[in-house]
Amino acid sequence: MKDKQKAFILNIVLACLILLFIIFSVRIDSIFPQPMTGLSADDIPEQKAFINTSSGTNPGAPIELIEFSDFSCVFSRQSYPEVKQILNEYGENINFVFKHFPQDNLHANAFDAAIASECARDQDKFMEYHDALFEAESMDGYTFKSISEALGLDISEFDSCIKSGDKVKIIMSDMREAQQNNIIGTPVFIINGDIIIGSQDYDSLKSAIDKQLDPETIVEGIMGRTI
Amino acid sequence: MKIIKDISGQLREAFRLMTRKPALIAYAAISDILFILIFAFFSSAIYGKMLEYAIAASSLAAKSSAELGSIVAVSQTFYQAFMSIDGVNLFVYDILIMMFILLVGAYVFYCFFQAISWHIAGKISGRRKSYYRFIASFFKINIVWIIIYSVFSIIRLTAGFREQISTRPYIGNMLDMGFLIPALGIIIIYFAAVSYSSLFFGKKKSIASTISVGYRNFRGLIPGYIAIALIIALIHAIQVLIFRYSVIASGIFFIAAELPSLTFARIVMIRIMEDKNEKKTE
Repeated sequence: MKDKQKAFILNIVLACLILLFIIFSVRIDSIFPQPMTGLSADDIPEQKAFINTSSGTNPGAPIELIEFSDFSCVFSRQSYPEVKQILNEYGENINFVFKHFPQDNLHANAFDAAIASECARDQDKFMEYHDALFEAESMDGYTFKSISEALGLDISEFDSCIKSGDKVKIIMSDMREAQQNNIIGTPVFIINGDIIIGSQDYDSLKSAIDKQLDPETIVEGIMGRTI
Repeated sequence: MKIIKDISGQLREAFRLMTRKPALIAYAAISDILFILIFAFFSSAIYGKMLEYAIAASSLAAKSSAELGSIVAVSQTFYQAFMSIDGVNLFVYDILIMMFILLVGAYVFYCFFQAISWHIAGKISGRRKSYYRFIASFFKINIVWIIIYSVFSIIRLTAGFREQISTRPYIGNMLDMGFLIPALGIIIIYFAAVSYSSLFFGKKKSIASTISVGYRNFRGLIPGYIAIALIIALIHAIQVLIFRYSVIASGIFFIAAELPSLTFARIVMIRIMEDKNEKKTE
């Protein structure tokens, strides 16, 4: 068959196809009728105010160490032993506030891990769960469950907490706070208001904390607040 | 310097050829404008309907947001959790059907009208090739980037649902899209460029050989592409400026200058490619 004949046949086929597409566009409302959901405006729940129950390990301590972190993030995991050493060393002089910033797109099950840790908080085992998650080799449903069992959590209470979806709001609240502070990655440390971005070793965290304990810094801080 | 001289020579010659055949320029412009109008009508009808269905699915999921959060939390995938909500799956299947029709339509419209426009540009440049050769090449090569575009559309749809419906602020998805959009742009530009440059270099039997021929020749055509992009950008900037003062004048300028500039671009590319081809066979 010559090119001209082939082109003629092809043109007829294409013209029919294009005509079909145009008819489809014109008659789309009858082919795909208005979708009916059976819902009224009252059925859509309003967004409730965000809540954040995390007040830290030692509220009122002179040093406040806030960490925006993700249990599955390599850099957050790198910082974990350093942070733990700091917490052990400063004891009751430091208030550690853990804020969730899970990045599900980068780290599998990061959001679920955050929810699981908040469910452990309900049974006063947040820090233990936090440590176990950072020490765990994998991050999946099996890990969450085995940690809960190892820590002696009430499993049925833990499961119903996860299924309720209530903790989602807490994670969201932390994530929103991160966004408001232009935090785009983890870990980020805030020591008495001073922001330190990225994975830190023990020495750099310690020097940042000691700077805050320095009498001159304390005076500057008080003056700054009163001015 | 030689490249600039060659390109400017081709630009001048293409302009001279265009002024000689105004009727063919008009045909090419009509083909381009028909493509824009028909595709705009077709795609806006489908997009509008897809949006209706997406809102319906979102509303159902919003009602079950707590449920959705908990399902996701017990480690199912988002897609499974989302589809398990009563009624949502039917809307999503309809959206996928509409998306499929949209993509097939885009493919057919694009190949058909582009083949006509390139065929006319070939006639104007005096280096004509049969219409069948053009359309067969377009259908063959464009299938690669329409598949890539389909995958991207599905990812974008899923991410959109995740972002809209989920009780979580999906920062992650925004990051995903941030990476995807330029990546898609690069892929589409690459395949578009390769498909054009493969049109004039011998008869190819498979998509793979078409791509490889297109890729080999594309590098030599980059200066031509840049020159044409600059000219079209300049004409478009003038049109935008005119639009500020008069919509009608801007419309006239679009028909009189912007549409023919597309044909001009095709003529330049045909000439550059054919010259390259001739040098190879000499």
